[in-house]
Amino acid sequence: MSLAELLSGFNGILGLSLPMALFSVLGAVVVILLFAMPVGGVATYIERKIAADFQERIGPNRVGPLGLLQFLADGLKMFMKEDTISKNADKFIYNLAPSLVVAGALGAFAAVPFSAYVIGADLNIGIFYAMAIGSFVSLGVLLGAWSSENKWSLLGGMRGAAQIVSYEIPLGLAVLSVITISGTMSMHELVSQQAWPASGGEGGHFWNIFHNPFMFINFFIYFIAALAECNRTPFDLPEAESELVSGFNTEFSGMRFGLYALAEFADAILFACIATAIFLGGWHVPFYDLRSLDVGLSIGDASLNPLIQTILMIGVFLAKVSALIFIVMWIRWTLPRLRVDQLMNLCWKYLIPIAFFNLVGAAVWTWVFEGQSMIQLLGKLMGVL
Amino acid sequence: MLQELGNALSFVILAALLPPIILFLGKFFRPSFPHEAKLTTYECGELPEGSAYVMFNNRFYLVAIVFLVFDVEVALLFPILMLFREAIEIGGDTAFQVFALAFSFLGVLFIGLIYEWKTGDIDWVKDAIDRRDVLLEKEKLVDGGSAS
Repeated sequence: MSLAELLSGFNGILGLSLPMALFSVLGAVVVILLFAMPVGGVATYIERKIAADFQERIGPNRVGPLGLLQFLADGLKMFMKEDTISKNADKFIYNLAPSLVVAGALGAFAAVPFSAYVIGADLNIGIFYAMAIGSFVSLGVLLGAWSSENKWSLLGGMRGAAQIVSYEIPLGLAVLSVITISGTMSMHELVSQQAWPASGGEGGHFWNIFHNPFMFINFFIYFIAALAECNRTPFDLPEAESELVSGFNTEFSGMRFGLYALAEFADAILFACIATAIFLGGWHVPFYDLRSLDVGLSIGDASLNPLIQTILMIGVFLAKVSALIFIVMWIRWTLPRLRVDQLMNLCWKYLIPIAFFNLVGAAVWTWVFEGQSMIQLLGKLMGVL
Repeated sequence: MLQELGNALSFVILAALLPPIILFLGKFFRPSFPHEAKLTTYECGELPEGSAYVMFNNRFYLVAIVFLVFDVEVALLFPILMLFREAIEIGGDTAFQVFALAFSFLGVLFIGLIYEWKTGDIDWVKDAIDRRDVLLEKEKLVDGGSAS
């Protein structure tokens, strides 16, 4: 069920008959303005705090308790800053580029399944949509860099474009192997299939990462490619502050820079969300199917089960996403940056061939074992299932 | 389905409208003191030298071409491999047909990748090896000269 349908329930409660289009927009507002943007903002605070911990500093601690409101102060500061546009810049493209980056990063959140009942748009090509819209980001980075007519920007943008398009292939192949073993592109169904296998046969094949050995390797390929896709260390060559000043966003000032930074963080969160949904079982936990939870409470005739289940599912989903985000930040303060030729070698000579073989392996496994996962086979072997 | 597409569209439109709206609202709060020096592009504090549209390594172009071939391939394989599970359930030759269709397609591309690998087109600095050979040759000449 999509968020718009869920929200349209207010029509019944309040006795109104508002058009569905309004609820579509409302759903988008809820996910983008109440989830993606605040979480993107809080992520900057958490990143600074974690960085401080890694380097035995204190980090932001002045604005609000424990410096928690630092991201709001930063946002406000950038909002009030002068917006300088150099006189040589290509004004039209320069203004268009932030839109493309933000549309790519935040628009793809429509396909993220937060729980069994909450999803922005329950498309039957959900994962394909997320990847297609997500690639707007590389276009925005390249156009923003090109239009600011700065040598540093241009070099950073070119690097960024080459890097992002290269790593889209291992990413696509890893996602393709998930499609092969699942037989669907709908995010909702992809997650539903990953339930803990039940003895009655009603369960799924457990998390895709444990479906077969090839999928296990493919998760790491996806993770590395996703790091490169959102320009995170060790793949932050487009920004490379020690060689390219600030890379593709050298010329951006004030809120324009803020929007790029926000979109970058949102992009990282998006990739973590998709990894969680397609590899790590989304809102599923081991040994138990949250959809069968019965708390036995109700208000009037309406059972509270869906509400409690939704809260738990969103909690599980966000816990997995934050674990992945923490690992991304951990990597940032651990690994040094790669060289451009190392970056390209890693993609074309290691990740793509390995992803190719894993795709064939996953297909053969699906064929031989008729779509059953390792967990299911083990359960049958031990006579549990 | 149309409703879901509408939902997705409203996400993209809202996200695309955010930057212009935020930048427009900011106009009423932020200062604006343009200055000749401020409006030049940043070049380490020096006056910008010439245009920024310098010639860049066409490696970038080649990567884009190779990417295009691969990405179209991946996009085309999505619907084919999505049917694989269904084909297995149908049984008979269907699974084999889907498998053969998808992976003969993929195989041709993989041979292409190996070809590009061998010709050095996916090495970032293709001519580095040639250049090193030239340098080595020069060095040899010098060495030869000193030896004789």
